[in-house]
Formats: sequence, C-alpha cells, structure tokens
Amino acid sequence: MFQRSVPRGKWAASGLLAAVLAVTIIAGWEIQVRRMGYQPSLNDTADRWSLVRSRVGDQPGQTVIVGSSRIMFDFDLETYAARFGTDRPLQLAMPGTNPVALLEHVAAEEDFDGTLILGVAPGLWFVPQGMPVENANRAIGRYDNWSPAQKFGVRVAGFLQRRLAFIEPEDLALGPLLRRIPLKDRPGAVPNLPPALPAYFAGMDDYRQARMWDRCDFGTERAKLIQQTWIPLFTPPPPPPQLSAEEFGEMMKKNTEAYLERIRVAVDKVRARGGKVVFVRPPSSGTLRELENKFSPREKTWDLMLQTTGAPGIHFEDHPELSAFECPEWSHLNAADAVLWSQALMPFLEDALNGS
Amino acid sequence: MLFNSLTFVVFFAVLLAIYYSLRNWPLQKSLLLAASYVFYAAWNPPFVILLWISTLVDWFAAKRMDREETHGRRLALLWVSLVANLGLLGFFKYGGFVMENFQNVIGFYGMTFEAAKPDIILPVGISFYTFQTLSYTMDVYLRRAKPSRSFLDFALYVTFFPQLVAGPIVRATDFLPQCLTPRRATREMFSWGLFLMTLGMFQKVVLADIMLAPTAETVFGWSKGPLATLDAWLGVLAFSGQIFFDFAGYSTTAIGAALCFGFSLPDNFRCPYAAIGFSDFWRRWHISLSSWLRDYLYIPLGGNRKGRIRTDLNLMITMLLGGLWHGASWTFVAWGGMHGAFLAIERLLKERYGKAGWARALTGGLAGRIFLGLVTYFLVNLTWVFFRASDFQSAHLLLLSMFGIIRDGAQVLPNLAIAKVAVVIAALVITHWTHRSIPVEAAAERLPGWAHGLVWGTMLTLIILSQGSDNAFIYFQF
Repeated sequence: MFQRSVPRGKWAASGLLAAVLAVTIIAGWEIQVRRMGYQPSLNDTADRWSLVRSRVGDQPGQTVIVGSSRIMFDFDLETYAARFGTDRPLQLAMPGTNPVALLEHVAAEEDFDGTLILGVAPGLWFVPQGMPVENANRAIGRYDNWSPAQKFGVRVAGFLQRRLAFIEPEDLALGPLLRRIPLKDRPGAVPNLPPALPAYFAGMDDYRQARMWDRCDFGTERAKLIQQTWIPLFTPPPPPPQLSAEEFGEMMKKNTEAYLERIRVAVDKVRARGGKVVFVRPPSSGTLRELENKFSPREKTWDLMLQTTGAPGIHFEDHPELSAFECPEWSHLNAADAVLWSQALMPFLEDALNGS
Repeated sequence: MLFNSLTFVVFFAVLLAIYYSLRNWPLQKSLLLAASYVFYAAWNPPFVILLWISTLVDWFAAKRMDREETHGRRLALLWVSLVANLGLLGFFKYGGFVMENFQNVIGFYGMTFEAAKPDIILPVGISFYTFQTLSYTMDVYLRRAKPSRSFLDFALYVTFFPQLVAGPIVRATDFLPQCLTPRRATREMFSWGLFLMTLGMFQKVVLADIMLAPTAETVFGWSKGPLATLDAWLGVLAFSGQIFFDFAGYSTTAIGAALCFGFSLPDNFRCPYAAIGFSDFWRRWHISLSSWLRDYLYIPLGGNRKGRIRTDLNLMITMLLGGLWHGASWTFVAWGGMHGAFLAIERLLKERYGKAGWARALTGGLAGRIFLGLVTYFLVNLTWVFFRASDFQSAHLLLLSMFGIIRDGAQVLPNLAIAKVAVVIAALVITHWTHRSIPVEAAAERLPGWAHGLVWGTMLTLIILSQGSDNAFIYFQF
C-alpha cells in the first residue's frame, strides 16, 4: 500500500512554535496599526458589492444608489432613511468605476421598481476602457457567477474585518507594504507604469457607507498625497499616435454618444416599471475640479445626461447650500461634512423625486 | 472552493473535528465523500452531476469488465467509459474550440457557417477527475488492477476533495487500498500535513500571487507593441516561477490536507527547474500527468518499441495531446509540440553522442550538468511563452522582444517588480539545484526543530499578512 513517509522530528512542537510566532507577530502588528490610526473596517470587495446587489428587488419601492466613490462617501444613507422614512438605500456605487454597466445591471432587475440615485463624477461615466470599466465588470461578473463558497466567504471575512484593523488590503497587505520600498524607477519605464492609486483613506460599514478616515482630513499629509494621485488619474491619456486629433475627437464623441444611449435605455427601463431616477453631482475641489471642468465640462457630460434621459438632476454648483463644501483631498467630503451635505441635499432630492 | 479562502479554512476545521470525533470507518469515509461533494458544489452545485456520471459509468464498466472473459466485450466496456468520460470533457472543454476551428476550415474553402457562440462553462477540475477515473477503468481493462469491491471507496477515490480539482492525478492502485483500513493521522503526521499545507499556501499566496503574478500579467498583457528585452525576459521568468509555485503549491496543499486525514497522495513535483534535459523535466514536472500520459497513451501507442521514427511520432502525439489537455487553444498544442520536439531531439542526441567522450565529460561533471540544466531551463522558458500568451501573434512579438530582434521596445516594469522577480527566481533555481535529489521530507529532517518552527511561523505570518485574494489556481482552468 502506498504510504508517504513522515520525516522524523517533533513536528507538533514545531507547529506550536510556529503558531505562537505567527500569533505574536500578527498581534504586535495589529497593535501597531491601531496606533497608526487604523480601525477595523469592512473591505470593499466584489463580494461585498454582490451581497448588497443580491437585495435589489427583494422589496417594492427600494432606493438604490449607483455611481462611483463620491456618492459612497458624500451621501449619508442614514440621513436619507430618516428623511424619507425608509430603509437605508442599497449602496451599489463602486470606487474608481464607470457606473454605466452597474446602472444597466440594476435596470435589468425586473423586480426593482423603486428609486435610483445616480452619483455622477463626470469623467468616469464616459471612460471608454481600462480600470474603471474593468472594476464594474468584475463586480457584475462576481455577482452573476457568485458561488456558494464566495457567499459564505464574504460573511466569514466580514466577521474578521469587523474585529481586526490590520485587514486592510489596499494599504496593509504584503503587496502594498512592499510597494512602500523607495526604489527609483528607470526613466524609460515611468511613462508606461500605471498611475498610483490613492492610499487608504476611508472605512466602510455593512451598508457600504464609506467614511473618510480622520488622518485624511484637511491639511493632513495623506490628504496631500491623495490629491497628487488624482491628477494623473483624472488626466486623460494623449490620443494614440496613429490617430489625428480630429479622428480622436470623433472617436471620443461616438464613445460619449454610445454611453448616453446606454444610460437612456437603462433609465427608461427603470421608469417603465414605475421607478424614479435622479442624478446627483457631489462636490469636488481644487485642481481636481479644474481638471474635471477642463476634460469633462458640464455641458458635455452632466447636461447631456439630463437632456438624453429626461431625468432630474441635482448639481452641487446650482445650489449654494451644496456648493459651500470643500473636499480635503479634492474628491470626497470628510465624514462630518458628508452628513451635513446630505442633510442639505435632501430637500432638493425630495423635490426632484416628487417632480420626476 | 479554493484552498486559499476563508471558506476552506472553516470547511477544513469543521470537517477535521467531525472526522476525528467518529469512530466508525465506513461512516468516516461517508463523511469524507459527502464533504467532497460539498467542496465541489460550493463552486457550482449542478456540476456535481458530472462527477456522479463519471463515478457511476466507471464503477459499472469496471465491475462488468472484470466479469467478462471475451476481449471484445471488455473492449466495448472500455469504450463505454472512454466515450462517456471523454465525451463530457470534449463537450465542456473543447466544444467551442471545435466549432471555431470548423468555421475557420470551411471559411478557408469559401463557405460560411454561422452558429451561436456556445456559452459553455468549464467545470472546474474536469480534466483531472476524468483522467483519474479513466486510469481506473483502463487498469481494470489491462488487468493491472481488480475493480473496487466497495462503491463508497470508489466514489471517494473519484471525489476525494484534496486532489479533486487540480490533482495530483491519483491511481486507484495507490488510493483504494488505503480505504480498506481506518485512516487516522498520528500527531506527527497531522502536524507534518499542516506544515505541507502552509508550505503550499505560501508558494501560492505569497510567491506566486504577490511576488510574481503582477509582473507576468504586465508583460503578457502588454498590447502596445514590443517590449524591452529585459522586461520581456523578466515577464517570462516571472511566469515560469508563478506557474510552478501556483501548481506545486496546490499539490503540496492537497498532499498535506490528505495527510491530515491519514491519506497519502503521491508527489507531483520534484525540483523541475533543476532538470537536465526534457525527459528529466517530465520526471519532475506534473509527475502524475506525465506518468499518466506515459502509461495510458505513449506505451499503448507503442512507446519506444517500434523503431526510432515511430518512437518520435509517439512522443509527439503524446505531447501534443498533453498540450491540448491543458487548454482548448492552439497555443497549448504548440507548447506540447515544442516539448515533444525537444524530447525527440534529446533522444537523438543521446543516441548519437551519448557515449562520446566529450558528452560523458559534459554530463559527468558538476559544471557541465549545471550548464545543461540552465540550457534546459532556458528552453522550458521559451515553451512557457506559448503556454501563457493569449495568441500566436503575442507569443511571436514577445519572442522577438526577448531576443532583441525588435529594438527600442517599451520598458514596462517598475524596479520593485524587477527586484522581486530577480530574488524569487534566483532563489527558486538555486533551491531546486541544491535539493534536486532531496525530497522535502529529507530536507526537513536536516533542520533542527526550532528552525523548522521559525520557518513555518514565518511562512504562516506572511500568508496572513498577504491578506489573500480570490485568485484561483491557474490549473483550475485546465
């Protein structure tokens, strides 16, 4: 009979030593990261998105939010629930994402007949390819093929994430920690390297409500660091060398038209079932806002979205109550301001929904 | 269910607790069988039916075959098993590929055939369990083995969760006798099993996924033209390490998990990047597949018993089909073809020059052996280009970049990636050379207990710190 050999040695004792060593190091690391200001927080993964997505259509008249990170930070779910006397909205926005595919996915949910709030970071809605599109597709792909093991796994992960601060894959996992090694890159490689993503700056709860971390608030080093990451991320790449400026412009125009049509079809689907749709443009600040105004001006993005769909919209620039807020890292409101901004938003939202 | 998931940690812990709380061997085996179905269904429940079909067909075919005396009837029963198993594999894995090539062929003759693109999900691990059950039927057909007397044992052999989805491909003659007596890991065996699981997960999660995969993905995913020679080579070297750590990591975890329940699974890798020549490589890489192909394809084709040309042809057929086993794409066939060609060339060189003085001097000394080993590793890396590239055009462009035939290619790797690949690949090759004849068990015995504990604890810590991801093992797709 085939039998593997087990090497001679006191492996149980070695195992005990290994366990003690691992637990000691991890416990020390947990204490250290808490000293650094980290707190236990849920990780925003495709599984967690799927968990919320799975509730869409469960009950009549639900409110669902689709968009990118700004609406996750700036829109306070609890404020909405208190104002409208409902459950908290289902937060289906995803950071760094072109939300069009997410919108289509929710619109295709036959049982959904409630309110759809679409958070707009203008450039992202028209990104033709790359990470913003892949992010959305990854989440949708996960939900569409969500295995029982993954459904169970996200709950176990949540149990641990609520208790341990060091579980923070964007900032404290081995990969990001290695990236902190200061190595200067070859000059020839720099233009080809992907832009850095922002370091960790928010926590998230079970409802996928994002809250900016205190250490990213006004004047902090982290806020300044993140400001600089937005610049390459929100600067469109130059036209490919094989296309002239006119050809590239034409291509981008067609891309915008195609996206607008997809948005219109999806919005119409929701409305045809009796649902309501409203666009919301949260604030941005500083150089990032300048970049947005330059590369994604309102008349070529926001205005077209409202015109094409006929849905109401609330743009922060149109209301002094909403435009009086600054974003510490130019893109998102801090935790306290998010609540205040949401409170200021609610009357406009109520009007928009009553009128739509 | 992935080994590198929290779901598996919970599954494994609960299963161990129940398994060792039972004292009835048939009940323990039933538990393992049920758990194995849960393990498989946790990915996609309906596909468990395929496992049942495979199990039932081979159970009845082998049982009946054993009773039949006439060769014709035995052969017919073998065909029943082959058609059922390979039919399922063919439909799920190669259906789209066959249709696409059919359309290409008739398009070449100016005709068109439009068919809806088949939307077929590949059942995870189907290539592995199909080969495993086929080996059982063929062993019974060839009278190398008697059929199992217990359906429970046989079903457990087909389904045993540690090796179900990515091997090692276990022979019935190795596994079924283990089911006859109660399996209970001793404390040392259990601890050693846990160590192997940690080692396997370290290989997968830390070395493959964190240290190497991003570089391989950047280089093989680059679609904006040629690459700088350094970047192209580092991408290929990174993939050579990634696929080893990914696959060997799975096998090591599987062996460790089985050991925790008192079962022994065979080795699947033995320091393959220290191979001297391609025949040596295939004695060290994916051993359970290469021995399967040798025993059930190469030897039945005639092996090396029918002259040189026929031997080379048999080698080529075996390796081409071995390539196709990995995936429904011509790039995998090309990968297998390259291995077949290198094996045939190696045979030719051995025949012609094997007894020459210079050849003996080359293979007898350490320097010569290292030289030949590095040549083998170099050639293996060239084959990996076809294995990993999405199409021939990308593979061609990458090879041109690697050999500097296209100059001024893009530099795409940050220095951190270069450092990671350099350190890990150098350590990998050196470790394989220093341990090329030393099993992991013997290497472990040389370490004092405290040092072993430190190594184990360090790996465990790094696995936890890596915080995992849900990256599936590469071989799941095969």
